[in-house]
Amino acid sequence: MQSNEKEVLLSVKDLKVIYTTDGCMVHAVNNVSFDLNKGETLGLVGETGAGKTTIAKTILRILPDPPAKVLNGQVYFEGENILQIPEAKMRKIRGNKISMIFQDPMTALNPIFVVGDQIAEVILLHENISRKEAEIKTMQILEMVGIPGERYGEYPHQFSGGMKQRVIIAMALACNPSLLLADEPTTALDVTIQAQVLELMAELKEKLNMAMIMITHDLGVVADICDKVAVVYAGEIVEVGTKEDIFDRTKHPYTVGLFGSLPSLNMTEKRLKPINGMMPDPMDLPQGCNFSPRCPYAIDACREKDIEFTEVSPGHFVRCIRAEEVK
Amino acid sequence: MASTTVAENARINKSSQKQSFFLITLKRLKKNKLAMVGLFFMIFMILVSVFAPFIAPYSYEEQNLSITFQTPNKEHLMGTDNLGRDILSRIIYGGRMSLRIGIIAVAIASAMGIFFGSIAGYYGGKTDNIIMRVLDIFQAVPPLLMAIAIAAALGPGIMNAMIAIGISTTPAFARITRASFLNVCGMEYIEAAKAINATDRRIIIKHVLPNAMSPILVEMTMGVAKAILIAASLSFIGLGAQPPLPEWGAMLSGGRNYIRDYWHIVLFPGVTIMLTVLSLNMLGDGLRDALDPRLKN
Amino acid sequence: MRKYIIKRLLWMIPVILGVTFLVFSILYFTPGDPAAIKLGADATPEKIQELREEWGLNDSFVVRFGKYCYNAFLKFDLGKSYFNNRSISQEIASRYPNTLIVAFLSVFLALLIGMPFGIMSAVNQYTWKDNVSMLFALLGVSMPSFWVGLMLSLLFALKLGWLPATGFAGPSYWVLPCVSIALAGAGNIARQTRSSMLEVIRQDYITTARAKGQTEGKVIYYHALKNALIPVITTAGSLLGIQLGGAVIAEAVFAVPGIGTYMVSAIKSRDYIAVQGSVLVIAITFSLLMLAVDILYAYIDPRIKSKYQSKKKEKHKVNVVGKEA
Repeated sequence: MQSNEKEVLLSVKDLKVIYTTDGCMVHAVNNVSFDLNKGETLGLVGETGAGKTTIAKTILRILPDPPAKVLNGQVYFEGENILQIPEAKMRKIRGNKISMIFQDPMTALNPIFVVGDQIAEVILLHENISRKEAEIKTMQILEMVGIPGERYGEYPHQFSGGMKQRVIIAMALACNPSLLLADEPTTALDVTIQAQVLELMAELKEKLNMAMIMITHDLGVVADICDKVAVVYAGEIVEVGTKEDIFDRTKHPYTVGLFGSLPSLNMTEKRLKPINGMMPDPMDLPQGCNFSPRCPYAIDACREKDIEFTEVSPGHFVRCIRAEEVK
Repeated sequence: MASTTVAENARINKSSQKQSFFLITLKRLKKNKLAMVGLFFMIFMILVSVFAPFIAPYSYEEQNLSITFQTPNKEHLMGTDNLGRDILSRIIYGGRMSLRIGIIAVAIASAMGIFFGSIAGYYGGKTDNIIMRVLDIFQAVPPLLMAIAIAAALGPGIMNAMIAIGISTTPAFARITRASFLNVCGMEYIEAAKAINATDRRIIIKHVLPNAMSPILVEMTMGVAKAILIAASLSFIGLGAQPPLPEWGAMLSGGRNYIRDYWHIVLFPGVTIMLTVLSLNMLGDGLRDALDPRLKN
Repeated sequence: MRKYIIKRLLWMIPVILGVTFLVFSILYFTPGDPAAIKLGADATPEKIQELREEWGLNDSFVVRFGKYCYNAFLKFDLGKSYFNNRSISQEIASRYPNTLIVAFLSVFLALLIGMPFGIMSAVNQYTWKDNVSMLFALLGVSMPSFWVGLMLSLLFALKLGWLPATGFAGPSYWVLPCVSIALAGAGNIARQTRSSMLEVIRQDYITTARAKGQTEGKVIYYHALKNALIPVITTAGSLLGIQLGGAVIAEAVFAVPGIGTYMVSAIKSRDYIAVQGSVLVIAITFSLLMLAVDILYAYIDPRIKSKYQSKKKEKHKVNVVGKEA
């Protein structure tokens, strides 16, 4: 490994985000902390509604406020706490140094503008070049993601779902960002297209030497392209470590449950093992460990107070007091 | 057999849901302050109209030429008009006219609109096409103008005004019913009802209509408001209620010649129309929000 | 695109004939004999019969309708007034521009007032700005426009003397009639703009625009507004129709020599052929305006435009295949 790859690019510390609706408070993200090095890929894994997208939108500061509010925490990007900088400075970062790919390509493009202009818009915002040059650059980027440059002047509805996602990837990569936030970029696509898009993303990430946060609930995707994995449950990171740590040396009962609900080819069991119960209502989280109501390992101590993050091996953190007993 | 149970279940669910659906809507409506203000004002207006003979201090047609054009005072809270009639009493009795015109016109319009709209939405295809094209033609004439033409043909009078307004606002109801039917007819419980060979009439009345009612209800509330406004306009150009009937628009029409010196004759009936229409619109807005499926949970 | 326009133009023919039929039959079944009304109570039956013959009232419905259409559409002749025997077409032609001025200006005014308030409301949803402007919008749509007209003329013409109360001799005469019917329109437009804007702001592509680092102003006025305006155009189109009807009433309040005052006096003198002509002219204007809105719509929304373009391409392909076979 080269030394510059060990440089920390993004560092999230004690992040806490709430939503308020009709006077009710929803704890969307609780005390989330993690580090991401340059060029590294972090997989953010968890069920729908666990708060993954909120984490990504907080980093980019595009959460709708109200109802969302960042209560606590810092997000250091290239050594600067970007939750504190003025909005005008943040706009220089958005789309330029940090960009985001959204879940549903069908709705993420403006229907009444041609796709080329939508990509050129990012370039014109962040680079000091003429409109003509931006158009040429846009065509190059389109070619890079596998779309003929002549399709610059077509409207989103003239593209298929997979092609739209390519346009969105092109838009996100237009300014060579150092961090890409990918929010379930393949969920809305057909399975065959999913593989193509993932491959394209992995390839471009390598080529442009970006760091990436891959939000997904698909453990297959994680195994394919991630270096590090953080497992999110009810707004908390319950386990974080290298891919190997998480896949081979699983320490948290929830992560165990996630793997248990995954079909595998050499499986001897007749049935999948789903995790019993439902994710707790984020308006009304349980005392102590959030997973305790569903956890087969839960003991009284789990329900008494919040569980601290403990380092079980270098870089492998778990939020469970019985981690050593879990297998 | 399977489909029978599905249809039966749908029916049972629906009847148990009916009450809770109503209660949920009411609960959500209660949260909307403007809508509640509108609702209470409407209830107040209806009560005042119903009990007009007990509430009104004077008769609506009693003339007293010795007290013409009085500005508001203790005996006549809203003053008197050119024939010495008490304006407050005329407004109270006028509520009977204006509200009745509004409600009956909407009853006519919604009955016809729901009939044609549901046929168009339920059967689709050619039937739909023909009905919609005829509606296109109807809607080429602006509603107020259509009402004026029909009222002119039928002659002045309250009954004719109701019919004219009813016919001219029918296309709006037909369109909304059709759109709502198209939504509901795609649902599986309609498939289930068709599968057990229920007659079309039964499916439309028992299964589709109750589920398609929300946007129609909203349009009906707003429709009464619209009808009252059109009725006032008709009376104003001499086609609606005829003197000495105290319809609000007719009061404005009768008072406009004296506006320079006696503004109160024109002010109070106008404010009454405005408040009534405003509260109906607030209620309609509130209903629309309360019935919006996107806001449920 | 051209095909779409031609198709819409061709569809105008049955609509206009249908409207004519509708208006003609409504007034055909009007009780009362125009000839008897014209000649008064002491006319002899022979005289009445003579006049009926002259006016063609003895023909059957179909013949009368056919003649009316023939004269109206091929000779632009809407017949002669039963009341004073003047040409209805000429009367309308001399008055209609005034009505159009009132209607168009008021729609323009409604858009000018309504849209900014609607946008402001949506951008500041649930704040006092939203509440206040929506309350005013609601008030606007709840007031009878002729009453607004009366009140405005009381204040600005009779009390303050700033503007003329009646007549139509120049731009200063236009203000009160236009404003009095524009208020309801402005309320309508503001409400429509707000709800359409709120719908668009929720969309994912607005988040995308923000994620690009675009300024909030550009996100609203470049990305959101253009999308939100599409339904507002339809509202503005139907508003033109409503205002044409409203102009009729406003003319009655301000004694504007337009088609409205003509119609109202025709109704009073039971001159139904004049009423028929007036309604027909307004309905045809409205149909043409709606056609223009539809075409404008297709130019603005690329989804509609390409729907027709791709259809054309497909047809073309079919033709080529047909030739080969």
